[in-house]
Amino acid sequence: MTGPTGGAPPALDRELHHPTRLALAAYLSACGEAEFAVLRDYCQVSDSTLSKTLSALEKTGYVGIRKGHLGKRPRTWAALTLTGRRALARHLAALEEIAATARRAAGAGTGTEETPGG
Amino acid sequence: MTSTGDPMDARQARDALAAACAARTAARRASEANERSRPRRYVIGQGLTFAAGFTAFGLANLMPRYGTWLTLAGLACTVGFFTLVWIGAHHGGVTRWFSRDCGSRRRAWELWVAPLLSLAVSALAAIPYGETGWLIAFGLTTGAEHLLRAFRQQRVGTA
Repeated sequence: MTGPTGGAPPALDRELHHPTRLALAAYLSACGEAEFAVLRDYCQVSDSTLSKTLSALEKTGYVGIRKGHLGKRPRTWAALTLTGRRALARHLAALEEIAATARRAAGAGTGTEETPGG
Repeated sequence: MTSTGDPMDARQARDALAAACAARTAARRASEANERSRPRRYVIGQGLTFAAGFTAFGLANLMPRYGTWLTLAGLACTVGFFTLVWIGAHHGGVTRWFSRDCGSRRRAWELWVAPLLSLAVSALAAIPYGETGWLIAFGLTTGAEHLLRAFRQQRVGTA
């Protein structure tokens, strides 16, 4: 898979490559902050898996974790940082580039088949 | 950013893009649903604390004898107002993100008109009564707007 210039492939972010991480980052990109339980229910993963995923993203600086209370109940909130938002935008742009390159290649292939003499 | 060297085919890329799009839509829907289902006591509390706070600031000018106490009361109401905004925004587990592409045209129109009306009324009050009039009128009109919004929210909810 190559980029638009036919050189290096578009740079995908390793930290956002895994589907759960990508879903998590994309979910957080459309909201200010989200509670742990909401994220767990959306991603349909266990508490420990989500905790590990969030910790990994926090270590890279993509996600900020805040522990607080709502009434007497302890709550954990996660938010995508500015670095995380930029990384997600770059990752999604790279994915779009891959899909677009494939579309162009398929279009060119179809065009050649349609005009065998040309 | 650490780039992955793993190759990705077009189908995988399209699947990943679709998953990201679905996640964004789900988050947006969740935050909008939270906003609709938020108890109206938060908006009522915000309106009352805003009105009380600005009225206290305005009266502090008018009654210098109680100036310190009225300013302290105004500050306490302001803290209460922002606390209620914070708690209300976090109700339901997902807070809203500022986005250019969300919300209908009418909502954006409403968001601008209410504060502009409050500012216009308070500017009119400032002509005869000066700074005191501006502060009190701004607090009362903004507070009233919050209360109207809370009651309208209830009416829409029960309809």
